[in-house]
Amino acid sequence: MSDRKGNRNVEGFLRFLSRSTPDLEPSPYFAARVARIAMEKNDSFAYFFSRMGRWMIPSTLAVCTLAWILILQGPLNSTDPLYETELLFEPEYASVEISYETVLGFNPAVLEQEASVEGKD
Amino acid sequence: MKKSDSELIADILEGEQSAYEELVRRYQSFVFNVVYHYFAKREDVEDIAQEVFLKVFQGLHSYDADRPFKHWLGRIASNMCIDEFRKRKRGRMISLESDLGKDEKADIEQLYQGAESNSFLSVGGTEAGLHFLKKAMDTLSEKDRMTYVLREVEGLAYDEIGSMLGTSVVAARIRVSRARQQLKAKLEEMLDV
Repeated sequence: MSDRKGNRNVEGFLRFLSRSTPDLEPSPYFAARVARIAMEKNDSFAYFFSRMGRWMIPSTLAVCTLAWILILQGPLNSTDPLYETELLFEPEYASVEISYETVLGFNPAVLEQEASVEGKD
Repeated sequence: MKKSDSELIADILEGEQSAYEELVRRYQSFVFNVVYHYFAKREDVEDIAQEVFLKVFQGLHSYDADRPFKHWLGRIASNMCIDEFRKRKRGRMISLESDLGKDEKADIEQLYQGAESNSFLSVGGTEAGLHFLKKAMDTLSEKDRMTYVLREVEGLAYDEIGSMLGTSVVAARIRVSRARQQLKAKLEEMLDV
């Protein structure tokens, strides 16, 4: 691997090294083992979800869009009387007198007063 | 009669395990040898080759039958090798001189003398050559290394390499040439040329 002048042909030696590297032979059971593992994975739930993963995002988006259309653009946000959700009448809160009687059914001050009158008697 | 790759793939997609076994057997040597030029331990090579074939199986439904299967497989194998190699290489500086002992340098010199005189090569000498080649290739970039392995070790054509690595033929040629120059420089250093 030297030329006439005795210079070393390093490139030729490199080529020789590259071409003469020994092959690494797989074990005789390698193919069978890999095929079995691949098929087992194929049957597993995890594999199913990994395969379905690519459909998860678009299908979730589709469901969300449908929900948005139905909820915001449909019954809950419609002026159609069919979907009318506003109260048909509003109670007049101003007319309702809020007192002990209306809330508790008795007035403690009145009770105390009555009790004191009874005590004096 | 031997089935074509496409026929085997069609059988695999129908759930035939033996078809996949046949396909793996057909290409296992190719994958092993590509991975072998990145990783020294046999167990590592076997693990990564297995991962490659499992990934191939998972992606078979998206395989484009118009492309040669070997190119598609080669692309998956090279990507996996490069990724795994980067993970393991991270944080580790590689020094060729410090990794090669005096005995190994002597082995390479002996191997060179043997190659020069066309004498019968000892197994030890060939192993030293492979060891040196791997150490020297550690200094190349991952893509240059893969391109060099596919061209110079596996003997693939440039257009095949381009298809496998997703680069143009010209880019593949440039990578091989650059890798060759770098390896040659390392070898000259070792042989005191």
